[in-house]
Amino acid sequence: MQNKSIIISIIILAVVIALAAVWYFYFRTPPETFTPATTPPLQQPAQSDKNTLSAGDKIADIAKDLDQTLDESAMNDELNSLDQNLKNF
Amino acid sequence: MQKMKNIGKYAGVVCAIAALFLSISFVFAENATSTSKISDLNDRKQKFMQEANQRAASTTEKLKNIREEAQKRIEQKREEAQQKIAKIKDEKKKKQAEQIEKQFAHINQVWTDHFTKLLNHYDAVLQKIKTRTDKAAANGRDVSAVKTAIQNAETKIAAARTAVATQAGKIYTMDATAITSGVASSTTATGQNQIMKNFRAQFKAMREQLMKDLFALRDGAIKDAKTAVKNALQALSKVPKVDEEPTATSTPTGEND
Repeated sequence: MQNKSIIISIIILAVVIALAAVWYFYFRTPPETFTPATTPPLQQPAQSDKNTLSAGDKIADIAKDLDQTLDESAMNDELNSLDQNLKNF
Repeated sequence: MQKMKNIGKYAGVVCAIAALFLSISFVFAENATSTSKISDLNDRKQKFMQEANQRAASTTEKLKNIREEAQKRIEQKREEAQQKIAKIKDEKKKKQAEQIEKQFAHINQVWTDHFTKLLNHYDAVLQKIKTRTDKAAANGRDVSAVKTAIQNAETKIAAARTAVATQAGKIYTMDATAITSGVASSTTATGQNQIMKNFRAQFKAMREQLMKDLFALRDGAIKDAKTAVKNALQALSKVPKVDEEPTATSTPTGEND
């Protein structure tokens, strides 16, 4: 009778240990958590060295990014140069 | 009898421990599911930016090919233009004419490059809007109007990219036959004056056409793309508590793309 109960106890313990093992190796493995502070900043496609997007993605950040003006000096310089050449021609 | 009672107690304790572990497992399982969904949001954010970068790179490559093709056509036309420029006796004016003639293609390149940068910028901003929309959806907000606006913005940006590519392929060359129009002899002073007059008229027409095309693109497709992105942002800003970051217990409610 005593042997039988010992065997039952051992079986139950084995089940508990197996469950603990499953919990430890599967669920305890830390999944990627959401941490805004350490989220890498968004990168603008590599086409401009002067203008970059802000790191934040809140409405105010996005609005600021959208209103960002890109450097137009090259465009204007070229056009002014043409106009000057045409004037002198 | 006493032994049986003890065994029963042991079994009870062991079962209680087992039940405890089981319940912990369920709690962690639920947490793991939520956090993995948040990790999905981060994955999608990265995916959005990668796609925007790919579109930018693809446009640059496409423009490069279009310009090479346009350059070949310019070279063919340039030969005719050079023959006409050679008729100018004044060496200084001759050099000026050569320089001006080359400037049109360069201006077109600089401006279309700038438009491409603008579109890449709008595209990148749109990806941020998509990321924030995903987060709002994860917080259980209704983002259907934002998604519609995002799709519209994507369509407008794509249309503008096509328009820029078309513009990059355009060439601005003079009408060689018009240079000698009304010129009896290019060796006389009168003939030279007429040639210069014709050159000026040609250059003026080329400049007008170039600027007309560039301004139409700037005030048309490019402006439409920006307006569409702005509309998407406005639609997003109307979502209640849109700036709230998703928590570990949030559940995303929909896809964004």
